[in-house]
Amino acid sequence: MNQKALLEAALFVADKPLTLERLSKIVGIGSEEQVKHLLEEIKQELVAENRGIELVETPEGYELRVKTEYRNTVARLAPLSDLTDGMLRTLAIVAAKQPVKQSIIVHYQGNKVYGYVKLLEEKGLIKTQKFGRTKLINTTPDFEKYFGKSVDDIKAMLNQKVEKE
Amino acid sequence: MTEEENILQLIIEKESWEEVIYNIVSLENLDPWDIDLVKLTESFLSYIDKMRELDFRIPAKIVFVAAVLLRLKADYLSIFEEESVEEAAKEKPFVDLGIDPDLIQLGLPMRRIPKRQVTLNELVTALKKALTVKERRVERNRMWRNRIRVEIKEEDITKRINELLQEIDSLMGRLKQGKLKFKDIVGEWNRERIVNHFVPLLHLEQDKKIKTEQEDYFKEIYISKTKNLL
Repeated sequence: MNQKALLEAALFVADKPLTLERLSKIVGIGSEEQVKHLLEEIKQELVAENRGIELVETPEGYELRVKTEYRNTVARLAPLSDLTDGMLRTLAIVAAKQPVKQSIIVHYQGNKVYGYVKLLEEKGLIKTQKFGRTKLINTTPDFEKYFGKSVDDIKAMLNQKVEKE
Repeated sequence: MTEEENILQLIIEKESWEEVIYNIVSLENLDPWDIDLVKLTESFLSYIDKMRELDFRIPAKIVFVAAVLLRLKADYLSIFEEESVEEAAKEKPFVDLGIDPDLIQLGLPMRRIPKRQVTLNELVTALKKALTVKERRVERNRMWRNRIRVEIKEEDITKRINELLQEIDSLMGRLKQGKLKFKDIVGEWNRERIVNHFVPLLHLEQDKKIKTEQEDYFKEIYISKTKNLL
């Protein structure tokens, strides 16, 4: 069986990112290094052929994603997104107000924020550091990769669009 | 009792559909672990026919149960028909039926649940929603604060403790007593004054400036100065 094709099939059908360990079990290759090499080949092929999707490595694992430039056009074809409404609102506040204290976001959104912050951190979109009795939260480079824009551009855009209303 | 008499009895006693079924199982000697659906359905339908004959009203639930039983009977009987058809088919070779025996078995197509990443526009909309939610929470808190308006006077407890000690000294001097009753210090016996005197009194005892005694619960409290303050 074509191992690279099998990896591609697994990534395509999965509804969440797959770890290297999981992928190597699926393909039946003991060496994670070998799997990583195959994944890199898939990634480069998608880039070279100028495709609509890309292979991305996130803290949660590897996943196939629609490229940012096509996302707006095809978004309505898939009603489910990888971030819940609560997570998205929390992320939006962090992006607009960073660096921001967790206690401030709790003031905005309530106690559920603690859970959202944890999930966003697991996804690698934000990072937290202890700050007195609360935490200070910022976005990460993965956040910029996710939206395909720099954090300064996103922050400016968010604050501008909100001020307009 | 004949079957007709049994049915009449069921009708007269106006049993529910469950009880009708239990009675049929009992009267027809059906095995409860292996109900003969055909017999059960036939008996149930006889019951309904009799009700109609006697011009009794037939409850809708009874009619519904009859329909369900008929459906179960039909499904049950159709299994025997299918089995006989299958057995007949097995005997015919594939080729005669026009089927390629080497044909690969088709599987169901794999369905995936597509999950996409959020767009920047959605991030902006989320921020607007977050601000709206925040404004609503602030407004709700303000409304609650207005409804429950509690006026709390702020007071320096140290000042109050010292004032009480002076009151105790002064009263002891006037009455020429080494021991005072708590009610003498409080004066007008109302809740506010009791609390205003009791709390600093506890602090004074904690600081070992006075000593308090009480014979039993809810009895009078006696206050005396400690030796070092005498």
